[in-house]
Amino acid sequence: MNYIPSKFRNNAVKALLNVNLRKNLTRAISHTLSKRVEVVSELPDWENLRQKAHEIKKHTIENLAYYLDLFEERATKNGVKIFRAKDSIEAKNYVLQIARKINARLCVKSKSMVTEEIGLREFLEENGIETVETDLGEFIVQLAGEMPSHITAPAMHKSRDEIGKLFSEKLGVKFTNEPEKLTNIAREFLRHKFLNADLGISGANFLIAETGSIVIVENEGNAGLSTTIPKVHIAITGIEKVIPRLSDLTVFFKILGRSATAQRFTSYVSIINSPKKNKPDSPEEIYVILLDNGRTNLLKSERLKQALYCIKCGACMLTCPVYQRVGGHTYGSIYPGPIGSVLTPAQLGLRDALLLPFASSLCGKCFEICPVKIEIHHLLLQLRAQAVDLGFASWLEKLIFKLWFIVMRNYKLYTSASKFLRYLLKLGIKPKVKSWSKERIFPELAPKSFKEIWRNQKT
Amino acid sequence: MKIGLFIPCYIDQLYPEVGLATVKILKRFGINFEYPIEQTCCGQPAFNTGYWKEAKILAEKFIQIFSNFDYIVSPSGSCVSMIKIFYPKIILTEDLQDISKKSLELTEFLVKVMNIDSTGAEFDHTVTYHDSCHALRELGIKTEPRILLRNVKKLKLIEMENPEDCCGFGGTFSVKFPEISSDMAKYKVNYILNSGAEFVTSTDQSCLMQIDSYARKNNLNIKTIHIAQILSNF
Amino acid sequence: MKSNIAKIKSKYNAGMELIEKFKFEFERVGGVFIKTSHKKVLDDISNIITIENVNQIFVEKFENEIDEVLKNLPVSQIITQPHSVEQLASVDASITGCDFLIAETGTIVFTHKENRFKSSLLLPRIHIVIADTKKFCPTFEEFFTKIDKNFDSIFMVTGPSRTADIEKVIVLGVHGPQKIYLLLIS
Repeated sequence: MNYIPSKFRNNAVKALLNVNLRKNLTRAISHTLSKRVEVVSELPDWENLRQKAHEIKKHTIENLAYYLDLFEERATKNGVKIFRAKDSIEAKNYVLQIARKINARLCVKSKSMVTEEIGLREFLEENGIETVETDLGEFIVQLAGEMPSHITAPAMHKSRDEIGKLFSEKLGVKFTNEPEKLTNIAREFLRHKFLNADLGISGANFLIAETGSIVIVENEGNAGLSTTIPKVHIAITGIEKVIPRLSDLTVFFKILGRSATAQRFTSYVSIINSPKKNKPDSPEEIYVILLDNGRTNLLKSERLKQALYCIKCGACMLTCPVYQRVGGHTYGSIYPGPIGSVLTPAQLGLRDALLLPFASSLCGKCFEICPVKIEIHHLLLQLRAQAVDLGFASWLEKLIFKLWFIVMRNYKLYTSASKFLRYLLKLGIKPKVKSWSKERIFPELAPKSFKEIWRNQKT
Repeated sequence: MKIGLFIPCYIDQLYPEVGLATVKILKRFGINFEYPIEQTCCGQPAFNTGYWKEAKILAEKFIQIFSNFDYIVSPSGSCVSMIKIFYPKIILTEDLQDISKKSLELTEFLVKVMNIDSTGAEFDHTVTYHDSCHALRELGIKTEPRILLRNVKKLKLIEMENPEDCCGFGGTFSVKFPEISSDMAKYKVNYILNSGAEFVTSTDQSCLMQIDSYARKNNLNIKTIHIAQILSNF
Repeated sequence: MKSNIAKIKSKYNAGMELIEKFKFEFERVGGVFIKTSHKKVLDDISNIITIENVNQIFVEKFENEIDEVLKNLPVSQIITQPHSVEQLASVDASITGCDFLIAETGTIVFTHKENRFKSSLLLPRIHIVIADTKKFCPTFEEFFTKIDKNFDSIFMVTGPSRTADIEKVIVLGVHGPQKIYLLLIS
């Protein structure tokens, strides 16, 4: 598979030339961004809301152990079983254990990036449990055998024609490219799955410490059904999703939908506290898996831990000029785009995700749009420094910077070097940077430097 | 009030005319400034590529050179943001000696500190302004250059579509990911062309370098000019 | 005396504003808002049933006089005590009460109750909600101070089920209702 972070550049070159992909991306992104401006500008206190959200997240992450314990205590009291998973293997095995216990055959899944992160669907399928994505976008990428290309709009890279073809191939229906009809086909197909599922798996947008609640925000109703119909519900989520109070939701309600899908508010919010026995449509058992999987690596760094404030809205991806051009798959990571380039190294290790922090012009649009004010572009710089510290840079780059540094730290040397380069230029020797020059003319030295002119003027 | 003039290394080497234009403006307003000859680079290329140890040494040197000034002024939003925003990330606050507070990009200095809204320049052309990412998003400079440009005699300022979109330079990004970087330049160049302006200007010559490099390679009729050159045309 | 009338009047106006705000937001997300009365409610629902071609319907227990009224709905089957989810999936529409109406977003809030079935809010194609004016709450801020935190579960509904996963075209009724009606009894 070429979709790994180390193939970023190759993937990017291909994506840049993929006219169809770029058309699909541009359509989806420009639509969402322009709508977002509309729904954000309605709120005069947007900046204030961002600040509040930032502070709530900051406070929680600073006291994460406390709030996780509190959540566990309250949720346990509500009758919910909590499991803390160190990594994806522990999480997957725990899910399998529950699935085996209840003899599950069919599992319905609502949208959850954390389950993508640990590869849960594939794992359950390998173990003979049919697992179906029920969010329309996720369902489309599952049928196509792909990864989501955006965390809240998974099938954004596909056109209606491509989806129509996919449906007729995989579901044996007559080709149509009408979104209404395609949606209806998915509804019919998935309705059957909902009614027969024994296990429902969801993520969580928030966990509320004071009440032990699981909060899931969505538009289609699939999360509502996945957490209602099957007798067992497992919510898998990252440890960073906990927030202190129920009333904190008021802030996040205002920013999440607007940032994720340019909506004032999503169609559905489920706040789940406890399981119910003897009800035809309520889970009898609820489990919450709190996943670490590299998140405490971020917690260790005073600066990088900001990345844990992320509420997974995906706005930074949409606004990023790099993502806009190459799409989510190019990154080869579950979380693409700017925030993905911070989260992925924490999960895979920086060596395997080395290119990602460098794949940014550092324009800062990600920070500008981030509803919880994560300084994503600065975190990328932090990771670049880590990469150099760990010795991951190429020998050539190291050599160039070594020489550059020697020259820059001594202005006399700098002046001599400046003269020497001009001497070379006179001899017809010009510096060349091949990678730069394909589409751009490499800038040339001025006949005289400013320093030289300044000196001459003075004397 | 004593001003230290900081001419970034790439302006020194590639675009000395931008430095001279800055000097001309400062002189016009009788601003007491000095150009410390021992200055080289603020360290940004190293910092942005991850060589923080090297950047830190250059930053310390920079601070030493510029510590005796009331303000440090530079015709580059990007290099000023290195000093203002990024030095505090590599140097302990007590060693910074207010250097980050004292550093200002040229247009910001003219408008905010000197209360100047016109340099008395004349420029009989249509001009569009490109917001450099560092000036805009790190330093919050948006209105200052526009105020000064609007008050240039005969100049007509035309806003392009998406003036805030990145030109794609990004320092080492443009070398590590030339294809993406060039594609970003392509879009920027189109916005500029569509604006119909004769010139594109900015607080940052590095953006203009990227735009010019792309435009020339592709034989596009775009003229770049640093804002200091327009503002010093008196 | 005069100030009392003024007080009542301003309270009434504030109440009206709340309803208008809710109506605006609810309609903006695609909900159908109908003002009705105890006398008119059966006629209004009967109308919906005709327009939407509803044959089978689930009716939640209201534990008040509405229960009696709704017995006379012109449908072929009324389910009030479902035994299975399949039953709820087979009806064309559901009629339920609700607990809060949040004006700022046009959101209808349902808390868990013995006689409430969450899947009845999602499975049928049409969802009809009956509410009275006491249910209004201006904002979520106020809502979260009002509710008892020992709830079992809360479900918030803001308009019909929707998706924009295919080329950003909005399609209603993905997994949940395609249409949602709010009948306000005043």
